[in-house]
Amino acid sequence: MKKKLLTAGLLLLAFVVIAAGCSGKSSGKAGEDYSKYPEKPITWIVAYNAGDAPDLPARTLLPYVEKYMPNNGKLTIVNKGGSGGTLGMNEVFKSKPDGYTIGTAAAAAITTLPLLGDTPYSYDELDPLLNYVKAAQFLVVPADAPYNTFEEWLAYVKENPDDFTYGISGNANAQHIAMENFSSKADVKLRPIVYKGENETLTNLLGKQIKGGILNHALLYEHYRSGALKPIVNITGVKPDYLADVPTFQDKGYDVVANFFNGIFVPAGTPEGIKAILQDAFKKALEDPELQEKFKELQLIPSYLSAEDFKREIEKEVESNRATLEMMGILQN
Amino acid sequence: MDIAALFSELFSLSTLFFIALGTFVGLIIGALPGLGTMFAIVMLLPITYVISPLDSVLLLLAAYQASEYGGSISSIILGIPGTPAAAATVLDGYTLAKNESPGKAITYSLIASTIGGIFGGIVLIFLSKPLASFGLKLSDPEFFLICILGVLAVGMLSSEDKTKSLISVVFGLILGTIGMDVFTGKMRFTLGFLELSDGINIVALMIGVFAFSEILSMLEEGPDKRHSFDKRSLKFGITWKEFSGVKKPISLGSLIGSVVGVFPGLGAPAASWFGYVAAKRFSKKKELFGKGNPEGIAGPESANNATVGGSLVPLLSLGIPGSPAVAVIMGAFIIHGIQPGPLVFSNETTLVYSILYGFLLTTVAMYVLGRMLTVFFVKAIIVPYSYLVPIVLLLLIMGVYASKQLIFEISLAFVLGVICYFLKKLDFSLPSIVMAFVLGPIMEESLRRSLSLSQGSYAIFFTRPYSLALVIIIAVIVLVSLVKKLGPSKHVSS
Repeated sequence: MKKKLLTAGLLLLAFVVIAAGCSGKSSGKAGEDYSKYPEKPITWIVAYNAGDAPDLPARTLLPYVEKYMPNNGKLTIVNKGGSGGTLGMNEVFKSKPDGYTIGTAAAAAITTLPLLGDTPYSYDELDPLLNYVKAAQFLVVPADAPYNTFEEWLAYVKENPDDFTYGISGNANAQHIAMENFSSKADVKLRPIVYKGENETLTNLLGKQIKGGILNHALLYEHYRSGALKPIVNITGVKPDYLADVPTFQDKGYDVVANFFNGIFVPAGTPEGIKAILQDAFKKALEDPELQEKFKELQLIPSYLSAEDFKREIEKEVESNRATLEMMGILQN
Repeated sequence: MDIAALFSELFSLSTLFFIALGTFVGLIIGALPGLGTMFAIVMLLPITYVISPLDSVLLLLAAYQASEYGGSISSIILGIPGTPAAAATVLDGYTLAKNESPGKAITYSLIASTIGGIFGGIVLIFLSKPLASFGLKLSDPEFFLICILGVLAVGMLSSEDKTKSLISVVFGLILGTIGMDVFTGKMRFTLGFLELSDGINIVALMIGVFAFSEILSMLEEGPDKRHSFDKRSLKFGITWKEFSGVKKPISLGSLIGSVVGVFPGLGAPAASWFGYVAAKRFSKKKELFGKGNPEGIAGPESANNATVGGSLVPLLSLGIPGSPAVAVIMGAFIIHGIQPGPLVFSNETTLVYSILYGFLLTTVAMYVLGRMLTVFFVKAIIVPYSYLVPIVLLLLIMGVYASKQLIFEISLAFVLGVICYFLKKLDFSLPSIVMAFVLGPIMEESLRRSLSLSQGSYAIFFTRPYSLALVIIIAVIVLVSLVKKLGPSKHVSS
């Protein structure tokens, strides 16, 4: 009998402890008072592996965001890479909208991959909070190629259909979509060759296995400086300082622009008050002169977009991508 | 370039400390079954934000180097690869340890790893530029043919049940197809799991294939089972004679590893298999492979350490990482504002040379620390199963979870483990599964991309000079072994 009492007592104690622990979590804010937020470290999920491109700007930015967070707010970056960023963003999607989980996504995880139907979330089920970085990407060719300007290259590919092979770092990614979009508008036939990442594209381009490749500006820079590669056209709308005179598609009259962004997303339903606090901290961090210096050194291009502007851009892109994917035969409408 | 300044910077207390730290962390994490090289490097990455560029790079390099040896510790003592590139070492390493002497097995591995590492370092220092240019000339068509060569070499020499080996290979190939197809973006066999869209995680696979099945076998043998050895067998050390016995596989492995490391598409796991296969091919004691032949330890271990140096070649000459681990190290460069690329030698001469010579220091540190800590590792083999099994199981689960922080991975590893336990009982070849899993996707991707480049024409394998050379070599090997088979019977009939 004593044993049973003891067991019952222990069980009761256990339940009480668990209930107490749980209630701590679920005591939501009764009113709209966010003056104490954040009361614990915010988990910042970077949906890419440590050392991958989106990791660097996030880690560089973190201490500056903390600088401008109220209540000595801290953030912790957690890398959750894989599946082009969709694994990490899925975590964000499933998290509680309490302001303690935010996520960094690059374009693919939002404006291309969800359209292909393999993600548990659709692009509008994540709440865009702000954008902080953009990258420029260029169509690059070996230095000894017989064309130096966009016009010369265009003339070449018009005369030689199905001859120009160019490397991309994933099937139906933003690079591919932009080039296919351009090909149809300019009425040229190009041959995309899919690699598993920009490093593979770069290796094969340097080895002249392919005639061209789409590369990120930071990756291109050293090879441009050493004279091994030359850029033909900028496929985005962002111009980095040192390659500012390379024309974009839009400069040349083609309505094609790829968007390589790194933005913060939060689970849908995150309270407006909390979003405002986060946006303010990030915005101030991006305006911090020290941070801007650092970004410049690391060849990162800061690009703040408010939630509304960001959302609008995403919508526009999704629409445009959907159209191009249908034209490419990848999506059936 | 001021040699004196270079060496004083290199031998400064802080740099030596970080090399030692990296080596220690790499050794331990490598030795823990399942965690792997990437985990060690990524774990150390945050430290690099606050220390000097030289210290950062050498810290990570030391961890990289040490983990490629560390992985063999788990392979040898537990029969569970500590890193994907130590899978081949299980075949002879674990057998030698159980039947004869764990101390010797570890010694073979450490010595082979150190020599492989040094060789990789020398290649890096003296042959970077020419090797990098050569590396650019080889691409998908050649990778495909190289893999065929590797697969053929295994097939030719397989002395066990050929049908079962073949089935194991096919099973491995099937597992390798799971995931998103690189070229079409379509999901293959992922059964709706987003977690499988990048394919089966190699860590989960290895733990499932080797570890869980080994644990189930251990449970079968009973909790009181323990290996017992006399004191000498637990000691580190081999005789000069024993060392000369493995000179050949070490040379082959080192060479193979350095070269394979240069190509981003291949990697340390592939190199270790090629090292094992080459050791077997050129050995005078082929029959002893799989039964505890030291050559089967020396070959893969020298190869996987040599890839460390090899994988830095494209990084320092072209700014392209030769392996995922090097990609993280490249991140460390970039954080300090240094862009690896063709101009880094001229822009940062002192730093680059310090790294090159510091690299050799990492191999020395690996040997020294490896030797000191061997005693502790080896003792683990005599722990009774009743203690060993739960501890290892816990480490494994942690290892699988740590690699991707997904509970899914643990279930996956468990399912694979149960399947492989039965396969093992039926005498199927588990290492063949892993080898096919590693090489299969490389082969498929390179074949399809070759055909994509050639617009469907197989002529691409004959019009490229290196491809043609490889095709000829493959043809010769096939013909020679066919002739060998038909030869004796011709004699008999006449």
